[in-house]
Amino acid sequence: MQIDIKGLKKSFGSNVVLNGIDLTIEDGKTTVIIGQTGCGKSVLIKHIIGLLRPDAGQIVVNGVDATRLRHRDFSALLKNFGVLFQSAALFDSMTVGENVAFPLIEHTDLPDSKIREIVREKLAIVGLKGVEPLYPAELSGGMKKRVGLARAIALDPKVLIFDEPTTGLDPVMSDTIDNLILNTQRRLGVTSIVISHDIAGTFKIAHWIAMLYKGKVVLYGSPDDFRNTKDPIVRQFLERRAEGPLQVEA
Amino acid sequence: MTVHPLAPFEYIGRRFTALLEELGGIFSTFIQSIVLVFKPPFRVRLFFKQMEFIGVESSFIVILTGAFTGMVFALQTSYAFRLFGAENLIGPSVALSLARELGPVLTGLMVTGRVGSAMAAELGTMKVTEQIDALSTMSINPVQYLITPRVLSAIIMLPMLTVLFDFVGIIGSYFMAVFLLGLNGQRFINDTIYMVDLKDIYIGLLKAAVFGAIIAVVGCYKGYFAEKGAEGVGKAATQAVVISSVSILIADYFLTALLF
Repeated sequence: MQIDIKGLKKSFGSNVVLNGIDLTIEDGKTTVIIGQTGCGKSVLIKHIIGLLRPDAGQIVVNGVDATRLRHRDFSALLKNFGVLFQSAALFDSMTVGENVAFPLIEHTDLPDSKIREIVREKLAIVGLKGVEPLYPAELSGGMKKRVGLARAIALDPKVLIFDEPTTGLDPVMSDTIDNLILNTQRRLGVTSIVISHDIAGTFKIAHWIAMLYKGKVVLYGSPDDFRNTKDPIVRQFLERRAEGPLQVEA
Repeated sequence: MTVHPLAPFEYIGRRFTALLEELGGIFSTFIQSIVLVFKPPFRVRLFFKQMEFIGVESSFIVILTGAFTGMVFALQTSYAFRLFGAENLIGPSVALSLARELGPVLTGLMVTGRVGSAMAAELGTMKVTEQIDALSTMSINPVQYLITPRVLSAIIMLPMLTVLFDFVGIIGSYFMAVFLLGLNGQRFINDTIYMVDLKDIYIGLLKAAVFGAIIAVVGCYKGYFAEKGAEGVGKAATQAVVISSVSILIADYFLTALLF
């Protein structure tokens, strides 16, 4: 599924967060969106999954402007999306098994035995076995993310969205999650959108990278384009320097 | 520092607008949740789960409150009625007060403390941990999934709890009047049945249903729009209890004025 974002604008009061975003998310590839905290990455993602409505602009999914779809049609479109939230967003009143089974129960007529089989299979993809009876509170941060990913891929989505998948995880677990994103993308051939602050991970998993700055895309290109760019904003961000044109907001 | 002469008016205007916005939000949440009752998918399991939480699990606290309210009311009225030899009015006055006012209002306030705060805290936690966003991205309407079963269950269960409160309260006052104050039991029952109209009970139950809607809608609304992490969830739970309690008392006045 190709997603074309055209002239997307969004303000909260006088705070302009997205100031005309133009970006193409290529079908079957992983696009990583990077940028400073508060630059609008999460707001952009929330527009793609319909949690926010833009002030102006379009989000064209496979040729259809998703921002103009009726609620029912948008819901149907959304079934092609799987989202791994920053906090994993597992339902804490349900077990791991129930969490992964939830989209299947809601959107399919599969018998219980088949659902259990799919849950086992999806958990195996993310490297977990026998955790179905556990509750989210009993899981580590990394396990929660993996269960979140298993739930996100339960319905075999065409687009996977990862909101800061490695934030708060140790380097080894971060790399494990990066490998999972890579493997899932290759195995399922999905279009992936990843929001990240993790530079090493970004270069590992990205086919394309977009950097946001002041509500606009400051650079879009391949990892090599980013490695070779002389843009001072991008260089400062990639080199993790406090000095430069990028300033931390007071 | 100089204060602009219009600043107080601006402040009052801002607060008033915020209040109107909040009332509009609560009312719109109520309408949405009721409309979605009639739209598939029908979430029967969630509905029964909420009926159990709101109704069955509140019954102990309602029985306890009802029994002691009935008993203390009988005790208090006995002092006054004894002065002019009208002890036989203890039963009817307790029953009327319970059916018309105390039953629905005290049940509403007790359930607000237990259920309204829990709803706000549960939905608030779901909000700040992105669980509500997760529902939306799975093409599940969070209002239909989370709020509708709670509102419908509260509207149905509050009248039932009120019946329980009234019944236990009357038993409590009977116990007080007959065994401790030495009144004739049969007369207590006859006078009570004679004086209390079915209309008194029906209107009390109608009030309870309205209070149920208030508790669930306010609790869900405050939780659903909670912000700023744990602090926001705590604030939502407190506000839910305060707003629901005050709204119940205000609604009680208007319902009494309109219906009796």
